[in-house]
Amino acid sequence: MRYIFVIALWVLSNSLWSQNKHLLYNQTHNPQSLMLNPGAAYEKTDFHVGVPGLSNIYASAGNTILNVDTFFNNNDFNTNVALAINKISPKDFVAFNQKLDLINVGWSNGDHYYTAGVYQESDGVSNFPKDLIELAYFGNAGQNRSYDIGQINFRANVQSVFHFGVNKQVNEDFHLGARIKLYSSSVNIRSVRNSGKFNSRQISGGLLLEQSISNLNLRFDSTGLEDAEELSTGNILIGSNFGLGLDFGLSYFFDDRWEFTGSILDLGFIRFNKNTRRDVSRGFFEYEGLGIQFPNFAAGDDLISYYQNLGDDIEQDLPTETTADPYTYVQPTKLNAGLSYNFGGEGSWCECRVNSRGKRAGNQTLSLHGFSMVSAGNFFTASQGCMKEVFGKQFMLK
Amino acid sequence: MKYLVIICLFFLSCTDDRPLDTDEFEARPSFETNVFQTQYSAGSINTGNDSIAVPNTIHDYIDVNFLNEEFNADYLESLKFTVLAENSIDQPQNLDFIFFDNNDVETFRVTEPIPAGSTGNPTLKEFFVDLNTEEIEIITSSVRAEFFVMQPSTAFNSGTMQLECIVEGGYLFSGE
Repeated sequence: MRYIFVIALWVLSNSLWSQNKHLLYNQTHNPQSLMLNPGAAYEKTDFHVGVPGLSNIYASAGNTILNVDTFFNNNDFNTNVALAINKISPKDFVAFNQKLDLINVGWSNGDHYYTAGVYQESDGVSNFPKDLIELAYFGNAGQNRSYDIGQINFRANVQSVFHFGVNKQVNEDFHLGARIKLYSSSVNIRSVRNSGKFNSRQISGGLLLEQSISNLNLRFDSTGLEDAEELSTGNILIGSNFGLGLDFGLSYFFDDRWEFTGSILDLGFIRFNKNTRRDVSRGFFEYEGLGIQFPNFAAGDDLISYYQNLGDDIEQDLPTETTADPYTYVQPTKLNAGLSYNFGGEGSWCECRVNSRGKRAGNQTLSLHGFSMVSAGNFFTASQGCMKEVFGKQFMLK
Repeated sequence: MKYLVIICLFFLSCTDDRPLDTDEFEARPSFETNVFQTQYSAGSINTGNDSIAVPNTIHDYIDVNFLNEEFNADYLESLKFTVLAENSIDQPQNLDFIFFDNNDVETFRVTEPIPAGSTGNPTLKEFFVDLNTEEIEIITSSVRAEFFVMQPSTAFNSGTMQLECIVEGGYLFSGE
């Protein structure tokens, strides 16, 4: 049984989307694991204090389709670029995430373990607007097609999070946890749920092209960009826009070998209402070339500013409305689920200085962990397999 | 078994050394767009439209200072105008596209004669103006273009001249 589990773990491990912080997941001796699952069967200490600014430093960046080998291999670089553009789809995306734990403390009180702290986090995701990339790289000459402007889809946020959580052992098998979060942010951008097409087609019976921008509905929301140069570290750490969020988690031992864990994180939002800017462009515009009119100068007609008029027509038909309206940013909610199997020799950690509350058997653990998140309409998933072995009382390899 | 897994994972994570050189990067997008369309009647050119009317001529001016954009000056590699003329005026029409710089000095001229046609059987002519690098440099330093049409003598029918123009511009962006 366990070999099947090992093989399954090995295969699934190769589907990792990118490096991620989930190695911490269900590391029940580490208080940072409570940030990934507030209901973890944490091996409770009397208290813990994280080293400010150092207890958790994390950064990741990745994308769903391209890698170094896509561009740098034995083929011509320009051929590779063209192939890469053909390869991507508008559903592919690039994302980054960064987190810095500033304060993290915890203390035990009976069957409860309380945690509190502050961390700074930034994250962003952007889809590849394939059609617009193709337009920029190949141009529209001879292409005879439409380009989907609605593929513009991105969002990014910088926030500080003040949190307070509680972890409770309900009974010998079951742990529950919850955390409340106060988000504060001064910097946010997003452009989602856009639509519109740029059409450029040859038409029969003439030379002119059918060129238009149709059904345009392009939105761009931002906070803090207009006075970005005035942003200080203090502004970034304690933003002027606030929101609330919740984390929930649990851990359940079916027996002394099998454990299920799960958590849902950042079920929350930020209401942006200070320093906001919303730009919305809508409309339809068709361009058939400048209409040369040969004004009758003899009758006193003036010169016509054709390109000025064209600009005016574009502004009239594709008006951009700029407001300072507030908007709500929904946090990218994360879902974790894990299944662990314990085996091996006598577990030694129950006798160590930490006060383990779990009921694991053996000193080895195989675990599968699944992670998913939705951000800007993109579905992130990661699966991870781990094997953990405890050597003696103090050393653990995962 | 678990050591086998560890060894497999170890080899799967091998890397190699390869140059990450982007100097040879070249993007050559080519864009096409409508430039203008127009129509005038035999009566209009017979009379002329200048402030002091000159019969058998007609003209107009287009501000083309957008060509001056640094973007064009730096990256525009090829420029090709395609014009389709349909002439049902019973006189040949001589088209002149004259470009001027900031000092009103003529920088570039394209001349194309369109043979006479008739209302029942208009003359169709498509022609190209494919500019070389030197000509592109001149065009992109121009701020104004005059569209000047002349016919040798008065037309006697009620024909029209229709013109359509598109342009294709090729850009070169390189990694160097």
